[in-house]
Amino acid sequence: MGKPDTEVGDFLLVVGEDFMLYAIRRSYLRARRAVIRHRARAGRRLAVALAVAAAAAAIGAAWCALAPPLVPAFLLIATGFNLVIGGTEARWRLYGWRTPVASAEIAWPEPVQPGSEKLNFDIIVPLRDEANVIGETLRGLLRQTHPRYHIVVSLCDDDTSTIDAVRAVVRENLLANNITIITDQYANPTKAQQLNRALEVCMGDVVGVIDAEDDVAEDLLVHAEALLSRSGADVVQGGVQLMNLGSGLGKWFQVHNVLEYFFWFTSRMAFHASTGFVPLGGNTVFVRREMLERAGGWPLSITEDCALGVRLSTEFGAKVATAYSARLTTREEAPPSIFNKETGSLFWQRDRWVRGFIEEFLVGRWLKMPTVRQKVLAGYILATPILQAMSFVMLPAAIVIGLLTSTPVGIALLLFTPYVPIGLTLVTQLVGLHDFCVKYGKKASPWHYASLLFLSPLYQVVLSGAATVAVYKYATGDKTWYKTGRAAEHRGVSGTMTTAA
Amino acid sequence: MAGTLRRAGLSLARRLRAWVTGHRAPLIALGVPLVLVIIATAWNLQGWPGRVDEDEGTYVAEAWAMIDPHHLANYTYWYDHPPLGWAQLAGYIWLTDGFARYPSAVDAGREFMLLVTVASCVLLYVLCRRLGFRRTACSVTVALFGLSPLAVYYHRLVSLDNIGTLWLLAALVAAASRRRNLSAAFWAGVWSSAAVLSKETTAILLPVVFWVLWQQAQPHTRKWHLSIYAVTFALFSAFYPLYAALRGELFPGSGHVSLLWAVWWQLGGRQGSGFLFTHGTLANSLLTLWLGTDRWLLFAALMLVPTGMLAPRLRPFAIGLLIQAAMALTGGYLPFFYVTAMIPFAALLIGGVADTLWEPASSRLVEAACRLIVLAAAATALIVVIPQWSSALVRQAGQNGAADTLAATAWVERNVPKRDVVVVDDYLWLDLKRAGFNPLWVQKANSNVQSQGELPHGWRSIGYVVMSDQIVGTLAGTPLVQEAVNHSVPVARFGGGLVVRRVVP
Repeated sequence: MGKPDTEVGDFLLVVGEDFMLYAIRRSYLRARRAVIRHRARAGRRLAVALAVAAAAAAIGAAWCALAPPLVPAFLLIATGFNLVIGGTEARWRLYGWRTPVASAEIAWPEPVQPGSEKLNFDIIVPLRDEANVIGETLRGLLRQTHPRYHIVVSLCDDDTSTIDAVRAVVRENLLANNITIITDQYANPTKAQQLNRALEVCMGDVVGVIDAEDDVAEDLLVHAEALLSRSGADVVQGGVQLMNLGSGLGKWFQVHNVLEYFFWFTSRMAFHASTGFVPLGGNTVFVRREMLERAGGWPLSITEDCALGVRLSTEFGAKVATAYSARLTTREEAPPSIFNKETGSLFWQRDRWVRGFIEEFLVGRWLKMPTVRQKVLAGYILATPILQAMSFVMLPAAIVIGLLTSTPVGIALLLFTPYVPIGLTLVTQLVGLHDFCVKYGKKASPWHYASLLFLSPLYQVVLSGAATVAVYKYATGDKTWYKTGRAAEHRGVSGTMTTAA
Repeated sequence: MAGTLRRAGLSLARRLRAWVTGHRAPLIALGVPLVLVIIATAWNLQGWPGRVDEDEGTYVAEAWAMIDPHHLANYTYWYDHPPLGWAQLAGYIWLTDGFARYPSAVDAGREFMLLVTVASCVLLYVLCRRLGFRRTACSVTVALFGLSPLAVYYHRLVSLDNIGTLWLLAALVAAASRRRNLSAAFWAGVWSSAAVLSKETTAILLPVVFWVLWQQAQPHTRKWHLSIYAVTFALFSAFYPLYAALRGELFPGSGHVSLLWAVWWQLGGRQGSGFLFTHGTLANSLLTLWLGTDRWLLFAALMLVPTGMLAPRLRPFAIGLLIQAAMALTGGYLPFFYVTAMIPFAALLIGGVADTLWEPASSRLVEAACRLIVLAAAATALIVVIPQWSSALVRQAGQNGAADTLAATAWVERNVPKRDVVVVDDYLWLDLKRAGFNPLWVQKANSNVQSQGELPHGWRSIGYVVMSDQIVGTLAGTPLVQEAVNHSVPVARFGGGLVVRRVVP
């Protein structure tokens, strides 16, 4: 509608056409969601059967532990299980470092040349109670070097303080005119609903998601376009990195959380992409709009990101490309507390994630992966949080039972074999922290290393506890969840995104 | 059915032929020296060297202890060496029923050593290739490693050092991986651990593995490689002290053996062997043995250490050889098999220096001069060294060093009542034990055994003593046997100083 001599009537007509188009697209998206829900049901039955079988196996294992003659069998099974869990963790977290070329392979490609950008981007920023951080985030997004992008801010209509904060930024940038504000009323708002609402007005070729507190590199979009066009991928997942290592004893867990992200995005994500099954991250995700709409937008799950990744991988054969370069990584903050729901809680965030993974596992879409190997890997990836929690309990249990029941020395030695991958994982944590500091120009104190070395079991207690709560909530049908709050600690510590360059 | 099988066989043969055609050059470069080494090592494998060190018998006996009574050792295992070395020997003998093949159990052990030597040759070849040697240089290295009379001597003897060196070579091969995969660092750690748990003295050469890994890794992934290597090695090796801890034998205490005491004893508690170059010391007699068997390999390699230091890829190995030479000079306890781990380093250094000198140089003159040196050295070797080595090999082939021990064993089996206690060295121990006799290893004939009830009446419980050079050397430390010998009469004499004495209380 940019013709200079447009008359008023034409203008209204164009707006009207836009509206029609909008209504059609809205109903199309809803219809797609209904179709996909129906498809999921058959898988769900199979998954319930599987869950029953798993429960039976667990009861069997418990019985074995209690019946004395079967103690060695239980010990060996537990050891094998712990070896697999520990071994895959150690191996997959090093995927990005396995060869010198591997780290080059996962890096972002060269950006598209200025002037040859072809794709239109819509960046959705879903917001809820983010007045304190959103201004800086939006101003950062507006500095993108890509010439063709539009920001869609999705808000809840009762969240006036955030709406005001966004409006302030819009007023500062009236000339640029590339922020659209979408507000709606939600009975029980979720990120998925807000994203879908925003998707309805997206017109570009590619839809991206950025969270309220994200520091985004200025040239992320030109790199994303390069990767999309070079790899022919339908989805691109970029790296995300928590930045605050935490200072003070109360923040001991943050360095663990930071390294979880570090290894997830440098290695695990690339490994998942190589298997063709990628539970996506919550932001720095770019999806071709056409594919996103065919999938009916984001699944209405409490972890819509993971669910979308699973759905696109399994049902739409989406090709997912991942990329990681420290400079282009989206920077976030680690939750400021373990349990405090208001300021942001690691525990309740993890509870929500694990429930999302459990749901995806039980729905059983992963069974639609083409080969047996991919099915196994996909199921394993989804079950990992639960399996790791089980392993965390079984590790000491096996040794204690072994030592209490006068096990032969040979078998007793075997019981300790899972500590080999665990030891390797621990050393990768330490080297990883050093590497993180080099790549991001941060300084870690000896206390951070000490925390990694000595408090890892405690961190596992937190994660396993969250997994247990998640299983309980899922089993009892408890759907409540808590949005992770923001304290913007990463900005206090690292400065703004200008340090990203 | 038959048709399918034949087709499968044909396709397999075709694929094999294609593979051989595709790998002709490496197969020849490795195959020729390997065949020579196999011939040199296997020719009269059992007859020479004779029964020169009873540790041979000890390791085979301990392997038998694992197979038959399912213990780590025949007498109390006291952490003298980590048990992985003879566990491998036991595994091989158990799988192939090795004891059934030979008149003496030690022979089965020597057969395993032949396999270890073949595997070491292959690993050494791969290592040289990974270090960038030309194929000819690799062949020369393997030939030096396996054909020197010193190598033939030690590669034939049943020793943990041969096994430890094999795993050390495997660790070096992994460390020199050109793909620079992180798993290479992991495997280097695993094999290093296997090497140390096979023979603990290999640990002094681990800095070489570390250095090679450092050289191969790229700067931005180096810390990953080195830390994965170090931690993998530490974690796998930790299972040995863990074993001791689980048995309550980690720390010294009254009434039981302990790992830490054994480590202390090996490191410092043991009487030293004297200075290497002082005439009359134990160390000097070993040096005389080594240089008398073959002076060329060690001499040439030590001479080439400064040259090797100039080439970065050879530097770790030159230092490795220097470390071993320096350790031998400290005057501490020098084990009989010490030289074993020096052999591959010496061979690699000679082959590597030759390969480096053959490199094209910027100036024609320098290149020609360097190549002339290599050719001259090769010619000297052909004229002087090869004839010496070949004649040594032929001379050894005619010897039958096992005959006396076999004859003594046979005599005991014919003439001694089965329940009589026969004090023997470890060469005879296992053969008599397996024949149902009641042998007692001379080292164990002390108060400790007495308390275990084997000698209820002290020296009077001993029926016979089979005297050998080894037993004569240990009499001072075993007063019981000394007493028994004092009250005995010789009843049979064999060559090599073997005398069977009957104790007359």
